[in-house]
Amino acid sequence: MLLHLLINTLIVGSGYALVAMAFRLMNSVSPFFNMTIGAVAVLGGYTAYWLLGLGFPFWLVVTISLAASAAFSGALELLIYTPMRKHGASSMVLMVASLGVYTIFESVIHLLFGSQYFTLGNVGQSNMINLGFTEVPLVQLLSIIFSFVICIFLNYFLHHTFMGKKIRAVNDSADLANIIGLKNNRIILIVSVMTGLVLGVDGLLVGYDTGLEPTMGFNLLFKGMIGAIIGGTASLNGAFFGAMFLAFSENVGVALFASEWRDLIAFVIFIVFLSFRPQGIFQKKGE
Amino acid sequence: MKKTLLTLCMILGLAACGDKAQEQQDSTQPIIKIGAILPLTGGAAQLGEGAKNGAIMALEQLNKNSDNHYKYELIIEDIGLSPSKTLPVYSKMIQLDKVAGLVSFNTAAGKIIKPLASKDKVLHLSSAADNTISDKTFNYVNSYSLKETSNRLVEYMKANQMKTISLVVFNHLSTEPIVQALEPVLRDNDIEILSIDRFNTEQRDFKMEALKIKELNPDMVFVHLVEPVLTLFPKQLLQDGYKGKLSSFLMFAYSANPILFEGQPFVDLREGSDDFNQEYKQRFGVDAQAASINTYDNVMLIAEFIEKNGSPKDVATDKIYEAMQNVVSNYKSPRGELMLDDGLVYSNTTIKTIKDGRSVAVEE
Repeated sequence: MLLHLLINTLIVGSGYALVAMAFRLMNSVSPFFNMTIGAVAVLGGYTAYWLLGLGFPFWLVVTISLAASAAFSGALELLIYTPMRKHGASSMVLMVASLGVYTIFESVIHLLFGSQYFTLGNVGQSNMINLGFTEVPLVQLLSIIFSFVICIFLNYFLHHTFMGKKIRAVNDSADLANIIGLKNNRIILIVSVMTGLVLGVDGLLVGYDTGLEPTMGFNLLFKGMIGAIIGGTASLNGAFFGAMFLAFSENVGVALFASEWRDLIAFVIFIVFLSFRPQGIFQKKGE
Repeated sequence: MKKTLLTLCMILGLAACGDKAQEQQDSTQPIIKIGAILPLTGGAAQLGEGAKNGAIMALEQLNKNSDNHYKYELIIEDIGLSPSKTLPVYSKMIQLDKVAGLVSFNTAAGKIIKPLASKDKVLHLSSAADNTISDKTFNYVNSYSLKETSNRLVEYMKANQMKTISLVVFNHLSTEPIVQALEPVLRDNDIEILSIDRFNTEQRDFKMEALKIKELNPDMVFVHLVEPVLTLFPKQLLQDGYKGKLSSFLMFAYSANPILFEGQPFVDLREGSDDFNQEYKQRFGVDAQAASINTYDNVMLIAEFIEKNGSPKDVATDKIYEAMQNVVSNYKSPRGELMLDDGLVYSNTTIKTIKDGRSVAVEE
């Protein structure tokens, strides 16, 4: 049971972690509660669904879907948030704008695809991978692998590349970064595109694992955001492990109590952290 | 040439007179309008379309029957899956179309119509599986009996030496009557309920829930869920290697992925008669659905009531239920005999399974 609990934590947590890392990455250069993060993931999934329906080969479906998510995320930054920032919009105004964009996006998905639930791939024919003590579907194993690989890559990118250093500089102080000549808006745009790619991966994995529906974006965002807050919004690793901690807590709760407790547990943990350790697990006080 | 023209004029003149005579004969029969409030767009459009076809078929048969006192007209309106559209559509049907009876499809619409139909004295038959819509006067539900359905499931379990069950339902008011109906029947028949899980409607991850149930290893897992959870939970349970049986009341027939339930037994409404199915297929080019037969029956029952008793407005309120009982007991549905119990019109159910993605009756 314990091994199953751990593997289930990794599977569920990897989904949360991808969104949590995207949330953390975006928040590092553009600190507001960006509701469109969920929409970007949804777009990746629905693009794949549409292209598969048109008979495109799998590799092209994946490429175009990731590109669509990245382009959508970049376009939102370029066309909505950057102009608003130029006009001095506060974090609250940006958040409300993102809520508006999310609502429009959800309505458009409803209009284009209806409210039905879709899955990518065949529901009854999952490729099962034998782990010795249990079998897991290939897509769930890929979810774990991708979340770890992306976490390692982002850590490397942020700490060992020139662009990573620029991103961290904007994260430390946007004003100082501007004074030393960094083009903050361009850096935010690059981060948006990177975030779009990470969320595109999540959208595809969710589409193959649990399926697509127009309203799924908000749930994806919410669990990812809770994971990021638990881990500490100033730390990429914190977001990753916070998401895993959330998944572990939910699974333990369901194992010990009943299924109805799942969301309750997530929100209790969220409130406890906000009240007693708002900086999260991996961040020191005042950091 | 003149002769030909004269003959042609005479023929046309006679034909016109014939038409007029027919019109006069038709116009002697008063017209009764029946409204159908259905989801013809959105997620339930496929079911709504089947219901619409059933209503049209009933109308055509009613108007072919020369023994009837009335001619019937059907007013069909689409409300998609938006309960908010019910009220304006209902008002239009009552005030402009002046319908004498109404058929509706889903729970939300049925609940909105219920008090209004009572006030306006319009006979309303709903196909929703929610008996609270019935008020035993103007509102009735034509669905399945939870008691009869529970007994049918237990009969199957006993015949197959199954002694344990886990129940998995939505954490929703509408599913509680199912649990409440099943629990005592299972207990009275010495079938042990190992667990009852209630899933939140937004939940999409069921790994731990499936693992817990697999560890309990019940002979049967009964699910009353709707999509996408109807796909996600059984998929996870089967992926985890659960080898027992999955079952439900009707839901497998409505699954978006029936392949998941290949060979799994479930309780469903009976199929229509061969004659009905053939006629339906000939008329609409597709197979009749359960919703088609329900709506067909609903239109027929309203018409039968009016044929026997006149407009529901003219019948004393305390006499309506008795009149309806009389109508139901004398009516023969394509499914066979119908019963009316506590405002619920129902027929006996049967055990079906999914074979090649389609629901088929299991030989009993």
